[in-house]
Amino acid sequence: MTGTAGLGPLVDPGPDLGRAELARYARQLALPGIGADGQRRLRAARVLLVGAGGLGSPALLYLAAAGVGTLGVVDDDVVETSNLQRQVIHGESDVGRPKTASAAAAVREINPHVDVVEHGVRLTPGNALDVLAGYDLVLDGSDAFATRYLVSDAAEILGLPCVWGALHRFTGQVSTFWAAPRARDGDEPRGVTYRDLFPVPPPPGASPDCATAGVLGAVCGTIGTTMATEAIKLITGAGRTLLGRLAVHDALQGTWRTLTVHPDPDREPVTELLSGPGDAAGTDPYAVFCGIGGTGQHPAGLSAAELAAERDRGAAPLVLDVREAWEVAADPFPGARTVPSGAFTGPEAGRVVSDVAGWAGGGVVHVLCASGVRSARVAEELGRAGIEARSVAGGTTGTGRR
Amino acid sequence: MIQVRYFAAAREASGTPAEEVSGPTTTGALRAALSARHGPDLGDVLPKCALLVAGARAATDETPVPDGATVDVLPPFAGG
Repeated sequence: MTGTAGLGPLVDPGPDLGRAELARYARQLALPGIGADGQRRLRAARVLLVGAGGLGSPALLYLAAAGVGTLGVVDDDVVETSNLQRQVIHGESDVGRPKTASAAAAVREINPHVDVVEHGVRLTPGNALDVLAGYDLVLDGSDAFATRYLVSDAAEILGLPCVWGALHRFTGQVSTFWAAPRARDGDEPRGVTYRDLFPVPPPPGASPDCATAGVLGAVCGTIGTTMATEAIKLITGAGRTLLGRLAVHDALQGTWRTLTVHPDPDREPVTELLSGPGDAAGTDPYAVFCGIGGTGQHPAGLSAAELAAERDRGAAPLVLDVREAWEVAADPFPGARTVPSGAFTGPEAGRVVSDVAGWAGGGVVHVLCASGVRSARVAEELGRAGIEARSVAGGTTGTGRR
Repeated sequence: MIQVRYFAAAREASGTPAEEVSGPTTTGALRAALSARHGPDLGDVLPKCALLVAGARAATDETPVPDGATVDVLPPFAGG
């Protein structure tokens, strides 16, 4: 039996609370299982959120309000208008601001007793252990498989629990992963991690991201808030966490279903992060592991800004925009040919690839999407067909084209 | 009988949250049987899904599925 009950509180209580904090947390102090002792544990807790997006926003809001003493936020994106439908910690006046700064300001407004640490970086194998070290637990609200595996591995190496949530359209999954849970009774059963459930990522393109598939904002709230509750349960020892279980929410059906998940006895423990053949740009070993990164053999692609500059100089680089029609309509890239990324894996893939080959006429194709993920995938497909295709690093949003 | 439960995209593709199939079998034979029963929609999703036999991920197609077991069909997704 994997220990799902009997986890002790993760965090030791901090000093006594002042009068202002006692007044603020009155409704929480009244709760069995939390009380003044639990509130002091929350005050002493250090929680890291990876991603201040759809999941990170509600989780941050509730953890800040609940009085978690230190909240770290990792994100290297800036707030965009298309985020506001679901990333509720950011507002209209935050558009263009770094998400870490926007989130930190919101947290301070909600609860001045919380210290916010801004990590305005993209998590990489080079910095992940440094960023995660010193926190008591991590909440993974990132939006790419590569980051998911990186966070899982770093948390396992550091012995941290990882509260994990993921979204797809109207459904969400949430669990608590912890390779080596600390149990109250001294019994230390092997815990479950993301790798026990999904040892390898799906093929690129098999599981579309939010930009392609869409996601309902309120579902982000449901799953992100559940992640906050898991964090509070872990910190205070209240209740029964989702360690050893995975909860699946289907908003359209109005159901929550829970799966039991066991560790894979044959899985080797993770003791170091994946490492790549070199440290050149575009060789993140986690991106390669997920089939979306450069392998180091591809020439570096131009950025969207550089392509626009080339066009302004009178050159006519072939830009293949693989975003969805609605994304193109909202922010067209002038002069680009448009074919949504899904067409390259659908039944018409052969015809579409030969269209692109015709447009290219033996020349270079610059493949463009919003962030560089879909374009990398399509560039791989085109490369297999013998077309010289380069993914536009960072996509339309990455390099400040505007 | 084996109870098969479908989640998220696997539920959409199969059109049902759960169903019963005869057992015992193996995970490989079960994947083939479910694809045959539900056609290409599930056939596309199934290879990407983790099959959890009584909560443990089936590592190979030869993993036995005893009669009476519950098998959860869980697609991966990463959106956040």
